[in-house]
Amino acid sequence: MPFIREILNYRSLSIVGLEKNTGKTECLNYILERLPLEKMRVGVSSIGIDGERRDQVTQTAKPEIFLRDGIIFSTTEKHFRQRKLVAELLEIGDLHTSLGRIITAKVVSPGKVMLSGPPSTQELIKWIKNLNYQHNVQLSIIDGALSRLSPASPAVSEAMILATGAALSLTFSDLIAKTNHVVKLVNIESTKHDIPVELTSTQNGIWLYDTSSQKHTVLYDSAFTMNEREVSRKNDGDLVFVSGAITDRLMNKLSSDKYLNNCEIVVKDFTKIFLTPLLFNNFIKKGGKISVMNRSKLLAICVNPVSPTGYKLDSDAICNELYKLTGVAAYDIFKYN
Amino acid sequence: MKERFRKILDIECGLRYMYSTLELSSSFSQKMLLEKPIMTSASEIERYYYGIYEVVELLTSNNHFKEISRKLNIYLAHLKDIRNSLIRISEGTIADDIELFEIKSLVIINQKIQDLLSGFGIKAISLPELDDLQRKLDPDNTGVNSFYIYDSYDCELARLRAEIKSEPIYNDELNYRCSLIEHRIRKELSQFIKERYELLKQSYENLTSLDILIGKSNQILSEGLTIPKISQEVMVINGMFNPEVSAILMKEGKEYQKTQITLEQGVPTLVTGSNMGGKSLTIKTLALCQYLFQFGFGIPADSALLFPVQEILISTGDQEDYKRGLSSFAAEMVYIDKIIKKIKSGIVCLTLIDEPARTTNPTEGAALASSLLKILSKSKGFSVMTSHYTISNANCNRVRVLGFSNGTMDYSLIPDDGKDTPAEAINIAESLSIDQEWIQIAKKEITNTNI
Repeated sequence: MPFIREILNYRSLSIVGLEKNTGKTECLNYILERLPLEKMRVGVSSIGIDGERRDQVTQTAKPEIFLRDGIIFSTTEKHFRQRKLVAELLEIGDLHTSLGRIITAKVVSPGKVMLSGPPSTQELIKWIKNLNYQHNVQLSIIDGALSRLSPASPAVSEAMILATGAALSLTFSDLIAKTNHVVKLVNIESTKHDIPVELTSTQNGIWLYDTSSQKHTVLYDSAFTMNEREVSRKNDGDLVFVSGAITDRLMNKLSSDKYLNNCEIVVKDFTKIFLTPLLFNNFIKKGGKISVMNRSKLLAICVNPVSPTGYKLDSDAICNELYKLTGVAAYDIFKYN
Repeated sequence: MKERFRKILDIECGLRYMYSTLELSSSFSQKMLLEKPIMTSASEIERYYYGIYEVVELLTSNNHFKEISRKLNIYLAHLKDIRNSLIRISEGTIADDIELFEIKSLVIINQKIQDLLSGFGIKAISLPELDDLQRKLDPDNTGVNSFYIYDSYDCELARLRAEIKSEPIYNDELNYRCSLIEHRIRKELSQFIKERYELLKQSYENLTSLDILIGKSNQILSEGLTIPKISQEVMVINGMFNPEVSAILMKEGKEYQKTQITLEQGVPTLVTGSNMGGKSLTIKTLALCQYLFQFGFGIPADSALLFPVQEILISTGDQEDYKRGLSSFAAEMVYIDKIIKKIKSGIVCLTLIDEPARTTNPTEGAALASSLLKILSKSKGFSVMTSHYTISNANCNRVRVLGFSNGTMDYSLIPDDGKDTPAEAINIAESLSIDQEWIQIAKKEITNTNI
């Protein structure tokens, strides 16, 4: 059974897709069906709305989430009322979403439910903590929504599964290249340097850090106001720490600066990298070094070879090619289901 | 229609600050506090303060209560506003699982707090007996705060559910039959709750009141407030201070000088004194004290003897309204006119007027101010007016800010004979290091007019 045993080593898992209809829900159902529930408590929710019977954008049929008894789940009031299972209500959260408050319940008798959970990553982090402390949940699983990668941030979940497929691109090579790019980002090595907490906990600014003297100075107060550089001395540091997102504009700025183009660039995690594949690849080819504070653990890639419009790609070829390129196991979950 | 706390919260006298330093466990209690109408009867206020007195006593002298007050806060923090659900159920709607869960939560909080409070005998709080509801909503007697339509409600339901579990695929027919039974149970439970609506109402009202009482009592202890006594004819506030200003001064390392004031029913009090002597602050703090008194808070003073009034009328003279085309003078006149109408209607009120007609010429301004004082003396309630104008032969109590002595301001309020107006404006301006030329010319002008 692929990757189920590996999941048990982690306390939280997110399933994120590169596009809608890449099979996140199928993948979640696959996992939930196989987890040893008699040995552990599992919690499941989603970021934002998911689990609709019909896709809200493309109007294609979507699988519902099937929950076995013992599973703890969180969903909004609206979707809780529409549940097709017997569940013991455990808690009503204070947060109001567009679909009502978030209800946490335990499945008593199995059935189907729509999942629509906390809408932001901050709330998701709280949700995972609460499930762990209040309801003794050992593994929390987050079903991603749309093409949002944010729940896969190591700040939220320890491990991730990436869903890709024909919905992303119908051209074989394009699909492989786009998926490969994301996997490359996920697999960026974590930095070998010890960066002090006062720097890693800052919410804004781009900083220059000197690994030998362990001192840091601010380079730009914000990526929006980086026309004027505060400090421009080469000997001020050999590492650039970006507290927020790294974009093409910032990257161009950094790599064109003769004092900075040899510096190692450090970001918090891969979800903060918003670089186009071309720029990213050029940077790496030129010998640039980019690393993360926290590296994500990518357990597997799931492939949905069917596009929402009905086209079907050769799933074996995709899986083999992805494995060859990335070294991460790729599966067509639909075959296993 | 009595004024509600929400309405008066932003009157500029420091109430917002008092509200921000009040720590309540539940947002539902906060909501209930904001909806509270002002208390105007002496007996009601007295009864309310007795409750506060009880809790303050327990918090200061009973170690066991101090320990459980932390637990109380945790339970109270789980209180939710379920008034709408309860009203709907009382009108015959069938509750869904979410509503039943919330009612069960309330019942459990009620029972737990009842257990905690037993033995302390707080008379102001009487929580209802909800044992039968607890048994009904927790048929398996687990004591856990969770809810679903339990198998034990109906043996047929239990049998059907077992059958569904054993079926390999989703069985529509069995699920439909289950849902029919579940619906019937929800209906019965709703009827049961409907019959106990009043008890549940009493429960959340008393629980939120308890939260507010504890919050106010803790505020009294942390902010150094006092529980007032209710007076029959005079108001005496000793050691009065404005907590907001006091907190600002404390940050700057300065100390607030407390003041003392006595108000007599039917006789207006005229406060005179130099600029920056705290006259306006006295007006604002008096309004603050009166509002806090009639909403049952601790009073920022060493001791307070207060009188409940029908209405609190305050004019601070800065009601300028350019949108309605009124200058600051016109807006003030219109506003004071409203106050006069209220006074003439004969209700007992506390009227606080800060420097009336200050923005016009001194001759007419003084005339308007002194005539207003005469009207105020007809009031059945209490009134305080501040002024810079020389107002002679008026039937009023006069107090004066002591003023500058030895280079520092003494804010004490002392009785005054009203013979001469304090002339300290130039001294004060000088102490603010204002342009020397200006001050010198002004001084010359004064000597010239005096000759």
